[in-house]
Order: sequence, then structure tokens, then C-alpha cells
Amino acid sequence: MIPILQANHISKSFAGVPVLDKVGLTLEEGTIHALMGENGAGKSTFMNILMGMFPPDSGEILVKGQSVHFSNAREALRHGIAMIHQELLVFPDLTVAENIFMGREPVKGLGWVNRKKMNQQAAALISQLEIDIPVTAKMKTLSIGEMQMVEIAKALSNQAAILIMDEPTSAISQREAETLFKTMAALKEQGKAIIYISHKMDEIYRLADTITVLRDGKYVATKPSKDLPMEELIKLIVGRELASYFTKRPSSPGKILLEMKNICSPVLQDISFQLHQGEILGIAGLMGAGRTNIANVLAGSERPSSGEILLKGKPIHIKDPKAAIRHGIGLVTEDRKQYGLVLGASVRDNITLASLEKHGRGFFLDPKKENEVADGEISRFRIKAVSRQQAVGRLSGGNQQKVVIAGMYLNDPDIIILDEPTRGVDVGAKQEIYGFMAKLVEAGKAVILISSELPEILALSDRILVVREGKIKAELQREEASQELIMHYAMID
Amino acid sequence: MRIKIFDKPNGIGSNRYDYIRKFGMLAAFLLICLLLSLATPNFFSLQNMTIVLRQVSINGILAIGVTFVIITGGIDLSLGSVVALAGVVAALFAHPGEYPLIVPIALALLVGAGIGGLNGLVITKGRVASFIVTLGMMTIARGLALVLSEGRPVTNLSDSFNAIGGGNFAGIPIPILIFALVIVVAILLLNHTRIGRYMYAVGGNEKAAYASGVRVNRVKSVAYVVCSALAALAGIVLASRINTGQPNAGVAYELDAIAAVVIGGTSLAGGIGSIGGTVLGVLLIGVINNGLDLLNISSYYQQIIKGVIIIAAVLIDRKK
Repeated sequence: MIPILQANHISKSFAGVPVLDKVGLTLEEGTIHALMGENGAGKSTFMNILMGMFPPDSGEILVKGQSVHFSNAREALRHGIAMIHQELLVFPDLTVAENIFMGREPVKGLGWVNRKKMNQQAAALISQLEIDIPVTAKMKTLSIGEMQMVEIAKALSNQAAILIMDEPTSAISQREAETLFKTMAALKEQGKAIIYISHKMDEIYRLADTITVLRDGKYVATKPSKDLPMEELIKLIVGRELASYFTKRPSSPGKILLEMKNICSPVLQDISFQLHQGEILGIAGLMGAGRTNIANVLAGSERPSSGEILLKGKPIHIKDPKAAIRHGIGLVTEDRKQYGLVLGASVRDNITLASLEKHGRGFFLDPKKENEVADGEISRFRIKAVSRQQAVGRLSGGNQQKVVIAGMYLNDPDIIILDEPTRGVDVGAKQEIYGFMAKLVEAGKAVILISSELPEILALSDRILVVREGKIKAELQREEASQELIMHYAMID
Repeated sequence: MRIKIFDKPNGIGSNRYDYIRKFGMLAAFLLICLLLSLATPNFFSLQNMTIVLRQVSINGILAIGVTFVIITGGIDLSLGSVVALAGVVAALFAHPGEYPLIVPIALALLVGAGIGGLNGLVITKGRVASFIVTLGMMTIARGLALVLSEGRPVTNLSDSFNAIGGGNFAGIPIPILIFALVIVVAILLLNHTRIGRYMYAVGGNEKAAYASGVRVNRVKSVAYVVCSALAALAGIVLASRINTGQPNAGVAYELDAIAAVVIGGTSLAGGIGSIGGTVLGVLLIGVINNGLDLLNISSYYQQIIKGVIIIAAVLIDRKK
């Protein structure tokens, strides 16, 4: 059978710097093909070439055996290639159907939009995805997962046969991800081919028929996923042996450092728990269950309506983030672009922002000391940046995350809250973040780990709180916890 | 090290690009100066340069003030009215033989700072857009100036007061010296203090700054206070220069100031900008106005040319 898409020996340089070096991929009809690699491995450039965003320097692209040249995304779409972007482009105040048929609305004579026909066609597309979204609903009333589905429907309405999905599960809940996976399976049944980009191992193994790995702009390997054990895949991705995916460590929690007592807020209901020195406390739950709200209450960006917080047995009042920092509480936010970083500012300015008082001379800054501090953190966390003056928005996701962590840690907090610390972060940086957490607890600090990645929670936490609908539904000890048990409490009871 | 071309988001200036941009702006400025020197016999003379600097000093003081506000991501439209109000307040206390010189100056500056504080308070605590608040304040301050002066120019001012705008010190007009001092202090404040750094952080990403423990409301309020106090200073200089507290003075001055800031490369979105850029923007506008005067081109055309420059500067900024 002729593969639906073939890319051979694709090379691309920018300003003389090779970004892709003879990369290739063969995509069969009715399969899901995972594309893996660390951030900066060349995945995005490769996909952009397939999407016609820019031409390759050399190499060929074949669609159903025919050589093609795209000069823009519209031409790629005409050959049946569509991309579901990580950041969705929607018109929030228009309906689902209007979004799907934007620019291609079915019309009656005189150019009036044929609403009835448009809604019928939209409904047919939506049902093809085996989901249920009203096509007359305003786009803004949908969840991100549902919006993604609409984007997929839009691609199908354009007769797309090849879908490129770039980390589609990074911003949706577990439940929505399940729906997405079902839809993907249905599309596969219908003979569509999907290129799937994700850092999440469990998804890859669940969905992908074939895995292609890129590293540093070079093609590394293509293998059927069933013949590629996870340890070996990780080795292919990072190109070096990792001792193990997770850092195992003995648990030896000390005395109680922090206590939350009957905390209530518009989202949270009667949250009580204790946090010990030298402990990693995992908080699991679906998105929107209240995990981040707990973190925000401790970090001072959300105020509880009742309840109290005790630090070393004494009640404290955390009125704003500055107070939290003063009390020795540091938060690494789940949304680093919104709440963690000033993207246009330099790496140095971001690292020192939260602890600026410590690096200056009273009212005035001390650039020399600040530079020393920043350089120290850049080398300690192995942040890959051209210089400390580089804008932080230009770093890869993993390196941005390290900047956030470094900035938080410069205040020397006793309690560190990490909210989805490895989201959108490549395997190498993940490993380093795990190592950092291990060091924190060895030094007697207390860590709260909030994560949607259950293997991560299970491997790292001493205890796990499962949150659902603003309440703590279960407290599980390390030994008794399992993915099934956590999901049971997170979803059902 | 691998250079990642496509990690660069659009619209964020790295320092390297800033240098190229500033250098480009400086080159354009010098080119215009060169052309004007060739085209007119009088342009490149110490006397004319002094005239240009004295002319731009009031807009310069205002532009530096509003640079602070714009870097924090806000805007201040009340500047021109504060110029008038401060001028009137100063003039009311500057009649010969009544109070020492410090009284009118201090009172005018206090009134300016107070207006800035009020702007800041409503914008931060009241969570109203700065455009709206300062638009309202524009009318309020103008009204106050008219009330205090009973709608008439306040005249009969002391010689010592009139010397602020009209006198020389060591052969240099005092407005130029004041402008120079403001530049130095502004650079110190914005680039060498903690609060200056916080202003950039708040303008760049307010939520992240807050989460990092920055007192966002306080930082913003300081920017508005600095801005209005400098507007009051400009008002004092102007009143002294024209020997009158003129309640109708300074109309639309805020637009000239904002224009200079934008030409100087400060982003209206906040987080990016510099005092140096603003000064260059002020000088550029001043030199062009002066050159067109010397070339006997009508002031009507000057308006058109100034508008073209504002748009062109931002276009060039986009293309970098």
C-alpha cells in the first residue's frame, strides 16, 4: 500500500544553522504515529514544513505517492493535511457551526448564509467524532477539550486525511483526554492518519502504532510502539542513559511544618491536611477539582473565606503573595506564561525578580551582584540560554520552567509548592526537576506536588491527597496508592 | 550551542534588537540634523541649538514622566491639564513680595503629586482603566485651574519666579538645566532602583509580578505620582516662562509627550522602553519643528509631518 504521507531527507537551516538534518517520516492510512523528542529536537520545524509554513532546503514530500510542494498552510490543507494547534484559534462569540464553517459558509441565493444546512452539516461532523456538542452553542461556553473537538471537526470538514496534533492533552482534563482518545480511535477506524506529538509516555503507548524519535534535528529511529520498551524510548530521546525515569528515595518525614484547618473558599470545602518536614505530599485530582486553589491559598493569591493555616503551630494570615514569600512559602505556578514569567524580560531579571531585595543595596540595585546570582542559578539549574540577557520568552518550555523554579528558590522557602512542574517539559528537564525535588526533601524542606501525571505523583509522593469538587476525598499512603485507586476517588467517589 | 530561531516570539525586544533600534533612531536623528545643517545656514549654531533645547524642555519633562506610566502598562491623559493647574497654583503664590520662592514651587508640585496619587488610587484600588481615569482627571484638573484662577490668567509674578523659565545659570537657560536634571534622576529611578525594575515587571506581566511578591498597586501608583509631579514641574516652568498662570495652557500637551515616548521606542503595551529613547524622541520632534521653522514651512505642514513620523517610527519598530 502506498503511504498517505512520506517525507524523505528533509533538511532545513536558518541563517546557516542546521535545524533539521535529513529527517524523514512515513505515515500509513489508519494509523497514529507519535513524533517524539526533547524540546528543541526539531519537531515543530518539521511539522511546520509539512504544513507548508516554509519550504525545506532539500528533501521531498510525497502525498499518496505524488511529490508535492506547499508554499502555505492552505495548500497543505488542499492536500488533506491539517494541524490542531496547541493554542486554539477560535471565535469565542460565534457558534460551534459558525466556527467550523468560518469563511466557507453554505449559502443560499443572494449570498445569505444557509443556517439550517450549516447546522446540519456541523452536527454530522460532530457526530462523526462520536461526541456530543450542540452546534448552536457559543464557542466561549465550551471547555478547552470541546474546542479542540470543534477544531478537529473543522479539519474534517476540509476533507483532511492527515491530522497533526501538537500536545493536545496539555491543557485539558483527564476526562476530556479520554474523550479525545476515543475520537482519535474513531478517526483511525475511518482511515485517517494522525501525527501525534506529546511528552506523556502513557498516552504514547496507549495510542501510537508507530513512534519516530528526533534528537538535535536528526532522525534517530522509527519503531512500532509494541517493540519499543519505555526505557529504550527514553534512551533514544535523550541519547544518554537515565538511571531511572523517577528518582526513588527513602521517605523520612519529620515534624509538622504546616497545617491547613477547615479551609473554605468559593471552590474549596473544608480542606484540612498536615505537611511534614522532609515530605513530598502529592495532590491528585481532575482539572478544576480545586488542586490549584489549595496552592493559591497557601501562596497568597486566593483568600479563603474561613478556616486557618498554621505554620509551625502558629496561625498565620497570608494576605498576598509577598506575605507568603515572607512566611517561607514558594509556589511554582501551573501556568508559567501567565503567572510565572515576564516573557519579554531577560533571564536574569526573571530569576531575581522575587528576591530582588536580597541582591541590592537598599533602594538601589546592584547589577554586579545580580549578575553573579543569575549566573549561579543558570549553571546550577543548567538553564540553556544564550546569555543571562536573553529574553526568557525565547527559551524552551523546560528551560523556562527552570527559570521559574530558580526564581522561587532564591527566597529560600521552607515549603515549596510545585503545580504541574513538568507540564510541557522535555524528559531531560523532567529528570532534573525530580532530582531537585529529591534534594529539597533531603534538606528538610516540605514539598507539595500537584500533578495530572499519575505515574509522577505515585513515584514521588510520600502521601497523596485526592481532591474532587473542592473536597479532599482520600488520603493515600505511598504503599497503598495506585493509578486505579486515585482515579477512582478523583472521578467517582 | 544550538541557536533556536523559532523560539522567538514576535513583538518582544531583546537587548540586541533594542540597540539596533536605538542606533537606527540615533542615526535618523543625526541624519536629519546633518540635512538641516546643509539646508539652512542657522541650524547648526550654538544659539539655535540652545533654542531647540529650551523649546523641547517642557515636552521633555512631560514625556519622561509619562514614560514611567507607559512602562507600567498604563497611560496618562491628564498631563496637559496638570500643567495648567500647577501653573495657576504656582502663580497664585508667586506675586512679588508675598511668599518665598519655595512656596509656589512646593505647592504646585504637591498638587501635581496629589493628582497623580488620586489617579493611581482609582486605577489600582478601583480597578478602572487608566485611560478612563486620566481622561476624567483631565477635565477635573482643567476645571480646578479655571476655578482657582476664576477663569482669568494670573499675572503680576515676582522676578525670581519668572527667572525659572526665562533666566540663565552659568550661561545656560534654566529650563534646559531642569530638563537635564530630570533626565538624570529618571534614569537613576528607572534603571538603578528596585521600584524601577518592578515597573518594567508590572508592565511586562502584572500577574507574574504580583505572584513574585511585587506590590503591584504601589508600584503603579508611584508611576502616576512621578508622572503628575513632573507635569506640575513642567507647569511651573511654563508659567514662569510666560510670566502668567494660564488656566488654558497645556491643552493637548499629553499627546505631544506620548508621541515622543512612542517615537522613542517605548511600547504602549508596557514592559519595554527607556528614558534614553524618550529623550531621543523629544529631540527628534524638536529638531524637526525647528528645522521646518527655519525652512519657512508653515506650522500646518509641521503637524502633518509630525504625524507621519509617529506612524513611521512605530512601523519601523514592527519591521525590525
